[in-house]
Amino acid sequence: MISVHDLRKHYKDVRAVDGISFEVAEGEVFGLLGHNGAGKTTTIRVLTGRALPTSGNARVAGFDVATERAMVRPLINLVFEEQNLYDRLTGRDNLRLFARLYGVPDARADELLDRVGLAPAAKRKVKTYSSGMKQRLLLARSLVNSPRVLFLDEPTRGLDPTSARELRDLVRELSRGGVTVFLTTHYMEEADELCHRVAFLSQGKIVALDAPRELKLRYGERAARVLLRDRSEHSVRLDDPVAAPMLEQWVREGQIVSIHSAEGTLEDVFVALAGRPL
Amino acid sequence: MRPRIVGTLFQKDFLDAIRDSRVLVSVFLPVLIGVFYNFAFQDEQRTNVTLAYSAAAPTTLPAELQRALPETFVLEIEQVQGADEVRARVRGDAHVGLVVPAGFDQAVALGQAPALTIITREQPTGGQNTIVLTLDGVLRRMAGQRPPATAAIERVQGEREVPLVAELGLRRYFVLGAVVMLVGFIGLIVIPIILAEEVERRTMDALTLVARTSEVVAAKALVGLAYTFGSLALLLAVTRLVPADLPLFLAAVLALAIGVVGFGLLLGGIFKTSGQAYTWSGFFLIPVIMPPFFLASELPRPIEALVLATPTAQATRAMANAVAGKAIFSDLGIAFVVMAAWAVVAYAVLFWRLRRNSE
Repeated sequence: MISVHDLRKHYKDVRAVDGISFEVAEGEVFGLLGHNGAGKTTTIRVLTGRALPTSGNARVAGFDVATERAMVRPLINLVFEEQNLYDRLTGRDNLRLFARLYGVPDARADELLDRVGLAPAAKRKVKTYSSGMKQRLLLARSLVNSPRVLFLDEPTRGLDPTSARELRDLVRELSRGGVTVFLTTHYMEEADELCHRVAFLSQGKIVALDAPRELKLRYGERAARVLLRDRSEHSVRLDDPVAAPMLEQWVREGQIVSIHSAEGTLEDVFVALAGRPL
Repeated sequence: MRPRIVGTLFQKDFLDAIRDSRVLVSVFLPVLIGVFYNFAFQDEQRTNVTLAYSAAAPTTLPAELQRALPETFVLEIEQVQGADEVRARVRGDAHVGLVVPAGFDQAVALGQAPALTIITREQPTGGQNTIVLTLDGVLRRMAGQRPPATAAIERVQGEREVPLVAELGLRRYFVLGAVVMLVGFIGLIVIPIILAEEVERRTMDALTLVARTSEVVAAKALVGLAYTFGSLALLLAVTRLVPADLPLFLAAVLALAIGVVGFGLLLGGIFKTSGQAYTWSGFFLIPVIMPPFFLASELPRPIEALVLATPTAQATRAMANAVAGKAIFSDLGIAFVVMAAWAVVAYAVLFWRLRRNSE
C-alpha cells in the first residue's frame, strides 16, 4: 500500500530524510519512531503530498506522491500532531465542512461523531472541547473520506490514559477493517502495542525495521527478575555464565518467591541503536 | 480550480470569520465612520450665523442685512434687551451683536452718521467677518447712497483645480472616502487575519489535504469581495447615497477591491500569526486610504503623480463621476487601467509565491 524507495528530502543543508526505503502492506499498522527532528513528520509530509521529495520516490495506493498528488489525496487522510480544528465552529460543522470538501453526504459526519463518541457534544463549539474530545474529533475528521491509508502523527500526545486507550482501540478497529495505518509516536509502549512493524529513524535514516518482538529479541537483553524470600530483587542476565549456578543455588535453597522474564523493551532497542532514549 | 471546493470554503470562511471580533470591528468600523461623515457634513455648504441685537426703537437694519447676505448664509436673528444682553449673547453662542440706538434708521437716512456698536468675538469667524463687511453696503443703501462701483464676480476654473468637493458636496465626498476605507479595512486587515489564522492554527494543512492552496486562497478572495459589497450596501443604505451611475460605481469598487484583496492575501502569507496581521496591517492601510483625501487639493506635481498612481485615488475618481452623474474627472479609462495593473501585480506575486511554496 505504501512503497518508499531511497527517499530523500533536504532543506538547504539539512538532510531531513536521507535515503529511506520501506514497504507497508494493506491493513498493516506501521510505526515510525525517532527523536524530535529525526525526519518523521517530513516523511509524512512527503507521503501525503504536502512536500515534494528531493530525490527517490514514494507511492501510496499505487500512485506516485510527487507526480500524482491529485490521485493520492482522496485515498489518504492524516491526523495531525496539532489539534488543528476550527474552534469557533461546532464539532458537527467541522466534520460537515470536510465531508463537503470530500464530496460525501453530511450524514457521514453524524455517523463518525457517533462512532468516536462525540454525538452528544456535536452541537457544541470545539473551543469548549477537552483535549481528548478534540483528538477524537480529529480522528473522526480523518475518516470522513474513508481513507485507504491513514497517517497518524503523534496521535496520543497530551492525552490522558483513558482517551489514549480509546484512540488505540479505534486504530486497531480500523486496521482490522483493512485500513493501512502509518503512525509516528514518541511512546514506545504504544508502538509496541499497536504496530505490526516499526522502523527506527535516526538523523533521517532508518536504523532498524522489523516487528517489535523481533527487534526486542535481536537488540534487547535476555534477563529474568527474581524475587527472593528476604524480599530482595535481582535482575539476572540469562547469557551470563555466573547466572546459572546462582539460580540453581536459590532454587536448591528454596529462596525464590517469584521469577519473571524481563525481555527488552522497544525503548531499550532504541537506546541500543540511537545511543539515547526518546 | 474546483467550484465545489471553493464554494464550500467560501461558505465556511464567510460565516466563521465574522465571529472573530477583530474581523467584525474591521468590517463595521468604516461603515460607522461613513455614517458619522454622513451626519457631520452637508452637501450644500451653508454658513449658519446668529446675530443678536438690541434696538431702542424699531429698525430695519437686521432685515436689510439678511437680504444683503449671500444665499449660502443662514442668518438667525435674535432681538434682546440692552447692550449688556447683546454682549452676553455674543459671549454665548451668537456670532455678532449689534446695539442699535433709537431713531437709527431715520438718522442714517438723513446722513447724520449715528453711532452703531458692533460686538464680535476676540477670534472672528468667517461668517462674522462677512457680516461686518456686508454692513457697510447695507448702511450705504439705507442712507440712499449708490455704491461707488458695481462689482461683479466671475469665477474661472484653474488648470489644476479639481472641483470635487464643489460638485459632490462635503457629505458625499467624505462618504466616498469611507467607501475606500471600507475596501482598505477588509482587504488589508480582514483578509490577512483570516489567512494568517488558517496558517497559524495549522487548519491550512488540513485543508490542503483535500483542496489546493489556490482554491483556499480563491475562497478567501471571494470572502473579501462579499464582505466588501455587503458592508457597501449597508453604508449606501444608511447614508442614502444613490450613485447616479450605479454600474460605474460598482465597477470601480469591484476593480479596487479585487486589487486590494490581492495585496491582503499577500500580506496574510507574510505574517505568521493573525495577531501580527492585525497589528501590522494598519501600516499598509495608511497609503491605501489616504490618497482619496488628497484628490480635492492642488498638490505639487510629483506628489500629485504619486497620488494618481494609487488604485484608491483612481477608484475615487471613478466613484466621484458615478455619484455625481457627470464627468468631474476625465480619462476614466486610465483609472481602470491603473487599478487593473495593481491587481495584476498583486495576483502575479501571489501565485508566484503559492507555486514556490508548493514546490
